[in-house]
Amino acid sequence: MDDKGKVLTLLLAAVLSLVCIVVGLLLLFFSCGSTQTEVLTVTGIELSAEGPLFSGSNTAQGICRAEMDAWLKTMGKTSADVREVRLTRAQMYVPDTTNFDGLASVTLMFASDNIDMQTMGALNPIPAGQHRIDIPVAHSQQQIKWFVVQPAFSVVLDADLKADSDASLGLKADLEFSLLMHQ
Amino acid sequence: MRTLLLLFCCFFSIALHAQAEADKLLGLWEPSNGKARVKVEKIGAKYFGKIVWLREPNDPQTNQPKVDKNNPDESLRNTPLKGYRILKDFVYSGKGEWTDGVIYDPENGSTYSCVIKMKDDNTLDIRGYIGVKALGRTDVWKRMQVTGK
Repeated sequence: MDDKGKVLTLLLAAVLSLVCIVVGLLLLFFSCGSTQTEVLTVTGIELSAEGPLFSGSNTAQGICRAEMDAWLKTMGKTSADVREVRLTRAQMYVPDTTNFDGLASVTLMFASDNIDMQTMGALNPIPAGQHRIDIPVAHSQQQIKWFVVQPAFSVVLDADLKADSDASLGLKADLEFSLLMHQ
Repeated sequence: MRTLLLLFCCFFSIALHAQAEADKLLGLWEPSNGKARVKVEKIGAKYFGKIVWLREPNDPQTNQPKVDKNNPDESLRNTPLKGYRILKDFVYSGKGEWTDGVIYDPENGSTYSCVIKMKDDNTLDIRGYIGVKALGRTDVWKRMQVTGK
């Protein structure tokens, strides 16, 4: 094969590769289809750590039952229609007679026997005089769908106590999830 | 009927024994460098360890309590190191070994696969590795006796 032939073959290969890439991208684009975003809120999750508690890190735990299947059913969807889930808001609150002043910081995690624990956010320090705090949520979130589709998973709050306390720690959490769904 | 009851009792006692073996990991442990103490606790059926004491609790640069400044997720870099869970998701697999977990090194922000082997009631071999277990590093942790507060 002369030089001209070689150049032509290379050019043909390059054009074919380009066509393959374009076709692949088009297939990917059309297979994804259109999506919609829904918001699922789970309120009043009770978290507790039994006293006496010592200064430093203490763990409060609660169970989140998102009941996503039932919620999706009302929209004629199933969990298979859910492409991605993200925690978008995590709010903790205590009764109005108390506040978060006894705590220096909190770290929020999700845990389950079937899925690896994930840190969902942290607030450090906690502003003074608050009955209700918003925990900034983590940018990096993986597998959240698999927590939420389960009948229940553990919500774990590591709370850094400023001083020893004979009382138990009791608080509530509201969680807001954003669900990206196939239409 | 009596045989069934006997069988049930046998299974029950075996299960109780296995549970007691698994829970031997619970408690307070100190890595060989003595820089921190880690409390292992159980959530659901899995074991997790968090830093509860630091030899140098404050960052010498800021003179503030140390935070997880090397976390790959920028949004979590303000998380306090004291209370940080560095051992996660360990499952007891028998014969004094806990597997399927990970260990986090706050000094470089890396997470490694990890196996914990109990050498005796007060000594752990903590082996962190990437990919292949043979290519890793083992650290020896000692149990700390908790004095009543």
